[in-house]
Amino acid sequence: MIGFLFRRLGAMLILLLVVSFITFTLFQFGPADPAAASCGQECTPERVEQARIALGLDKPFFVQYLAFLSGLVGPRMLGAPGAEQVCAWPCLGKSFQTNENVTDMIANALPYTVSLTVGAVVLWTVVGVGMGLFAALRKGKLADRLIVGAASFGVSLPIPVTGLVLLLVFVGTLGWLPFTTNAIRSPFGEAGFFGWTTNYLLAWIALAVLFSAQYVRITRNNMIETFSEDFMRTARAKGLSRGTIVFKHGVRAGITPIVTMLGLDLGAMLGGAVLTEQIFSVPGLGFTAVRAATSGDLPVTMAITMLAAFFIILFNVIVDVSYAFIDPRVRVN
Amino acid sequence: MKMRATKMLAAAAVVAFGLTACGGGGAAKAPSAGQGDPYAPVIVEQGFSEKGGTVNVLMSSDFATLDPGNSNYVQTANVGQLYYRTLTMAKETAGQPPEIVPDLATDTGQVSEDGLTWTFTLKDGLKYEDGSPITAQDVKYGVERTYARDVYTQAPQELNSALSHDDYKGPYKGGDFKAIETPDEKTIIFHLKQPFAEFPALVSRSNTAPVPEAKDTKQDYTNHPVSSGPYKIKSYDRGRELVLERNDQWDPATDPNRPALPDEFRFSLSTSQSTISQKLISDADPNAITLDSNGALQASDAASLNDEKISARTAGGFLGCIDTLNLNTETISDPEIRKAIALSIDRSAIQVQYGGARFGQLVNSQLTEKMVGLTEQVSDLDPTGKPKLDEAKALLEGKDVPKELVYGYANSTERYKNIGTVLQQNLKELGITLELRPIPAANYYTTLAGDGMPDIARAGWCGGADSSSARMTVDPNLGPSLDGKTYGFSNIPRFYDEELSKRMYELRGATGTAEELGAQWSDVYNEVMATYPLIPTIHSYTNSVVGSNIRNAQVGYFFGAIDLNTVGVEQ
Amino acid sequence: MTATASTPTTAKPVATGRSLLATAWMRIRRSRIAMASLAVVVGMVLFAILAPVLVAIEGQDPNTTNTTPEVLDNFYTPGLPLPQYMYPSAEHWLGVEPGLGRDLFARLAYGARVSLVIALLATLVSVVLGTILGAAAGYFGGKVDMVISRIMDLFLAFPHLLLVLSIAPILQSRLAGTALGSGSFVPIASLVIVLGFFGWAYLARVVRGQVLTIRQQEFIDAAQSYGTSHRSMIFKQVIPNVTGVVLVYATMMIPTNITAEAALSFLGVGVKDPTPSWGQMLNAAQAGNWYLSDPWFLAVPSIALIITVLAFNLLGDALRDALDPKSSR
Repeated sequence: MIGFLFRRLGAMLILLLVVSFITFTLFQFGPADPAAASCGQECTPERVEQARIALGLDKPFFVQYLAFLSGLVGPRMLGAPGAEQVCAWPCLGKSFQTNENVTDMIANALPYTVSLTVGAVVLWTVVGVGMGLFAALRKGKLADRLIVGAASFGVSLPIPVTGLVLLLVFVGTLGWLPFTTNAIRSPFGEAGFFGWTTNYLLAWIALAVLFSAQYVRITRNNMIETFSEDFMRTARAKGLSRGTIVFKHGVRAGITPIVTMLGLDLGAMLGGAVLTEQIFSVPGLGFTAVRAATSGDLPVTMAITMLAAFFIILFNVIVDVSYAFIDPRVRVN
Repeated sequence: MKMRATKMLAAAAVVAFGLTACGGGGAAKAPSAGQGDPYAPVIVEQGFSEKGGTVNVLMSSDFATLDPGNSNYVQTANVGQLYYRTLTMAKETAGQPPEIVPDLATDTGQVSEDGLTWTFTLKDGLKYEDGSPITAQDVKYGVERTYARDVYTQAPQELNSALSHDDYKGPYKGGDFKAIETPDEKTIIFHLKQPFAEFPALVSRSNTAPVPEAKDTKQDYTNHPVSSGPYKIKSYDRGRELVLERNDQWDPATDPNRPALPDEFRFSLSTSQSTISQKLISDADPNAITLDSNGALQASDAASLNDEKISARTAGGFLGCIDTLNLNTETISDPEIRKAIALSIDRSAIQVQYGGARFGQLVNSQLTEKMVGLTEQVSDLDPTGKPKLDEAKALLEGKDVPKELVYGYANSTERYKNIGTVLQQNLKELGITLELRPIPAANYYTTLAGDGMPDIARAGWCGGADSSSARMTVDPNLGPSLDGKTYGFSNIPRFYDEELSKRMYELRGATGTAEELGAQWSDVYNEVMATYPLIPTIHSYTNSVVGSNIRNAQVGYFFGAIDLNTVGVEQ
Repeated sequence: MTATASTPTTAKPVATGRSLLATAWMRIRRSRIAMASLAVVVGMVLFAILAPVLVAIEGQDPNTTNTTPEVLDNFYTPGLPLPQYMYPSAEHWLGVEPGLGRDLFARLAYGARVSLVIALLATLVSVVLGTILGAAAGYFGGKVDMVISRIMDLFLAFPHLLLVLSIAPILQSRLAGTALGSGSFVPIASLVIVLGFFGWAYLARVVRGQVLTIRQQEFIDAAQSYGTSHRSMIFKQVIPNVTGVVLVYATMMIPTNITAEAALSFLGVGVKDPTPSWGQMLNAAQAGNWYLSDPWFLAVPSIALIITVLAFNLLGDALRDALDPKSSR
């Protein structure tokens, strides 16, 4: 088990290095010149060159990349020659646009993305798994058909459409919910749990409509499959009650693919729900990433891409490990 | 007294405008000429003078910087007047170019006989937020920092380009700056390259904000600039929130320009524009204002401005900014073809893309009536913006007309792309195919200055703190380079004409009264414009909706948004 | 990134491709939902192909702006279409868009071409890459498998949308100056490349698994003993046997790519005005908050998008069920 974890950890580091290298390389070909962007409207060619030196962009490609990596192992020096400053570990550099420390920017943006993720995941898991289970128990009946139909429809709704329609109806027309504010980052702040919920509710729903549909399908199919397996028939033959059979045996055996999917989705979501954050004006990682990518802000884009990849890989490992605990039939090796 | 009269006139206009707004059906509600001046400035709840309360400022992005030595934006200048003071100050009055008044200095400067030396004296009793005195050396140090362009890549340079010794490298590498003398703690003397009549306006720029050398944290100074103004930084969470609170060391007796009404300013720094506009219109936060351009209003929000309740909460005023379509005179070298293009364009359709007449007036010149010494400007463009196709086609007869042209636009703005779509259709009438080319917004102006300059490009020019001077518009837009041998750096159409450019080059060093110089610059501009290097389109008028508790809200001509200096809040 | 396949079913390998497809077709014909979906898909494709004809019949053009006060409100809400132009009419079958007053039906029809072409071509790129690489990895095993599998891991661990967000503008600006020319070609090509190139890894993994199973079966051994070359074996034996699973994934990848195009164009890095696409139309509806005062403008591309994606999804489901004898539906 421990050997397995170490192997995965090693693979993860290598993968992150490759991800960072690719992002870094791609950026060298970008359309936006960060040096020109950082010195504003009235920028003579001479000043663009000065900005280039201050940002360290005059150095050769590999020197720049190694300098970036050095910030991941210890503090590094940043800024124009003669006016350098220490950037404490872990140093992801400073934004080309605002000169802000990227580590701080991420720390600022992360709570929003976590708020968005937590609520959406809870909502779609409860709705998706619940409805999937219900449909499986009512297999072939009207309720099953309705749920399956709704799921097919839900999975076909693109986020921009759902998001804008929700805003149009509940905020624009009915006025039942407020516009998202960036003052609320967690349920423990001034606004409290209620304020937090109302602030993120529409964004959660937009995500849940899309995602719970997938959970309905996977739960339903797995439950139906599990119910038809031998050990379930045995349990029924033993005369156990229907509730016990469904929850104690069926759910436990059928939960593995759901956990897998949940883990992968969680990993992907924590890297920033780009569209949802954009539509609902939630200044999380995805929102920050869009802004950085369109303005040529390399350090910020690098950091968020790496963090997102890290989450994806991390949750992959977590999923693999959790198999051993959930399903006794699986052995990690 | 004169100012008071202006403001009362403005208030009268508000009433007239309000009446127009709520009378009759659809069309009558729109701003239209003839029923009072639809472009008169509107100040919300003027005359309020109670202190206290919090103003919430909603913004779509963080300030580029709070460091006065690295700030080159109107937004940072607007917030800057709350926590730093400068030798002189560009004081805003809605609808007017700002007035240059003494701030840290006792007057707007004493100029020497030859026009090459300006002397300022600091007022008594000036203190920083920590109680230490503000000295002439600190002002000098503030200017010196803006020469460290390798550290402060966005340092403002207007003042610097007027001073002598411009090879100075800043205090970190260059030591003492010879162009400024500080014989004692109160006196500061500037040495200029050549006479510059508008010099008092130049020292209103953030360069002259005092920076105590001991507190200079270089690039991190933006996180907590030391306050010399009525407010100081209480907390600053980059990208999220900035809170300004009262600076008890600021002495109102030294500062007649700043009413400093609210106790606190709270800036929310990352809300999307569409959310900001909806919040303001619905009065979701009665203490809210915004600093975003166009009051964060979206194209579809115009209708709500006709609502009586909302129009009562809407400040409005002209900005010093005029948008233009620049024709690349190198690729479209024939003035007659340029004129034909100009005449074929439906500028009224372009006006619709700005949100209609309410958001800007169609103009045929970049020079406004507010400019001193303005002479008559002649233009063949239709004043209502309609195209003159027959005339345009006649001009092109027998000419070698380009088949394909490129229009470049900043990719972040829907409106600028839409302008391209309008142009595409207009030019089709002349047999010209127009390609629309998006340019990354952050690199837009450097692209126009470089090899990537398309055939047609939109640009906006704001006269800045000195928008009453014709020179400050004509020279940067159409003037020659510093040596006079080619077109200037910010001359987007790349206009260069042996005779006319030489006249502008010589006018730069000319002496005379503001009236005389203004008239000469206006005359040259008129002749240049007869060759159509650029097509003026819209003189921006900003409407900014504020929360229902907000008082004294005016749109700054220079700031392009609610003037933070005058705003107050009812408790 | 091992053993974490989250997609429900993989088809069992069968002997020959043709009989498999024939069986599947028979099953699909029996399902009313599947046939209806197929009809919608075919209808949409025809709609896209016939766009110039339909728009000519309507008598409009996707790029002609119409900002006169007779069409657009020039006073109260400047740019908003007047009521008789906002909604469907004989002159403008779906009304006109706010701001520029262009005909919505024409833009929807031409937009269908762009959206579908991007989705289909991107799917083709992914399918070709995924099938070849996946089959190669499963068939050759050993070092080839290891290298390809690691590349797949890398692609699966990449935050796609973030990466695409950075790459799309790069490609667009790099292609813009080249002989590939101007206009709508560049954004379309760059979206095809980006979406196609990032969509293959998942399919490759599934194909690899299929091929591994097939390899263990006798008929390959039999072929091998006759001395058939690798190449002919891959193309004659392996690939026909993965046709089913590839078909199912391809059908499901198309709606994913349609949605991805919409998402990217919505974020402003995909197709750009004046080229219409459904994503670009959504972007225009959000820009300037137009969707709040002209909800119809949001509804037109949304409905087209939902119907198409839904039809492709249902068809994919039906295809999967039809190809999988174990399916529970």
